[in-house]
Amino acid sequence: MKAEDLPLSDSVPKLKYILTCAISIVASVFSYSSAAFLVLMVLWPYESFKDLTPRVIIFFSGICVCITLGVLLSIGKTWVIKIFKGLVITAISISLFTFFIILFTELYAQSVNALKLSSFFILFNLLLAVLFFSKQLKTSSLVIKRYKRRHKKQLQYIKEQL
Amino acid sequence: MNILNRDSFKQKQLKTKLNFFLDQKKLFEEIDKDIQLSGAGVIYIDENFTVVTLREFKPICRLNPVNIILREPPKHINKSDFTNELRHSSVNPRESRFVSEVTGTVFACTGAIISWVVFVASGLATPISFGSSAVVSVLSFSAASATTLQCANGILRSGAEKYSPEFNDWLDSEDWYVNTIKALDYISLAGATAASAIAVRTLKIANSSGVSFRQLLSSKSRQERSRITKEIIRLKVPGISNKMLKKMMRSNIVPKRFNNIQINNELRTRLRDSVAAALAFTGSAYNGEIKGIAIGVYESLESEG
Repeated sequence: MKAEDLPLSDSVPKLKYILTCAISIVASVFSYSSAAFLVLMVLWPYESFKDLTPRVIIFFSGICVCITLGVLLSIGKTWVIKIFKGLVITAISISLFTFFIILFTELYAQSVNALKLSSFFILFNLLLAVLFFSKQLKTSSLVIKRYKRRHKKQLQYIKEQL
Repeated sequence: MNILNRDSFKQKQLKTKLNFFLDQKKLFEEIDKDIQLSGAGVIYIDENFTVVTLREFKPICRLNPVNIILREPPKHINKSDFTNELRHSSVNPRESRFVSEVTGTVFACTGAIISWVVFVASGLATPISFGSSAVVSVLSFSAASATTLQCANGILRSGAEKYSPEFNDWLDSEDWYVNTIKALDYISLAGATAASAIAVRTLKIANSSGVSFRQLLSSKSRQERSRITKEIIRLKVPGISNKMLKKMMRSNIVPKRFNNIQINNELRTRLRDSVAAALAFTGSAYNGEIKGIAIGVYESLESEG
């Protein structure tokens, strides 16, 4: 067998699968950001902005976790999708909770912008939930996993040849 | 007004209407009574956004041009709403900052999506790169991570701009935050530069093999593929002689030619990479570090003396 004879047509990564994975990684970042923003900034009261320093650090640390999960998804770990599903459900729940807190509590009665923000987060997270619960994402992850496996075999073959 | 400095039909119509309804002479006299506004240009915008200049600026009391804009409320907007809108936009400069934050976030997040596409694709790229795809993967991973963090930062700042704008002012005054964002911008820019360099190098290889940019992604003939393959091998093994190259090809150590799919796949990854780089750069330019760079324009002045 020669290198040219390898069934490379199968290993051409299809953009639609890769794009779905990439969008889901950024979508998870959005879900997390919206939930974290509402918890750390809106729901959790603070005395001065100095109190927010550790919260901002927590916010960015969470993003790093999302990135790690994204890398795992891009190498074909399908269990990451379950975490993303949980994340989007949590984000919707927190947004809904914030929405009702602002709507019915006198304490937050003045915060119209927070109401607008939480309603935007609810709608956007619902859209993202459609992506996370779609079959396309799971298929994409499985297809990428298959490509990775084949790619590994091809590399191994070429290494042997060299 | 068009480029030939002629009034369009709508402008002519508006001028005729204004000549009839507006006592322009009296208006100009009233304006000129104020020393600060004397000689000011007068521009009129009607409800359909037709713009006419009623009077050009005359440098009577001041050298810097000053114009007075008279604007009718746009169609379907009542007077009070229009007044509120104007008052709000002049009193609340935060609104434009919010728009700026959102625009920067959209750029950063789009860049992040494309960077992730590049990262996943470079991991699956064909063995054409002889291991350089690993380098691309590391670069694209750093760029993707930095752009994703910028995207999250954009979401945080956009939300804060709406909910508590003072939070952004406080963030901007904190050294640790400013330095972190700078570092993210630099990582993203380093990734962008490296990606662009690789893209340019790929284009150079293609050009030296007689393949134009337009032909780049089209199917290539057997001879062209063979030429590209040789160029790539020469790039990977610098200083290799023709004799050695032929020997290696004969003994199947290196392939005689890559197929169209291998070459196109590699080139597509490179192109996606450069698009992601451009978007990351635009995102940074909008919100990040690059906006601090000033562009200087120099003009030579002749002096007699």
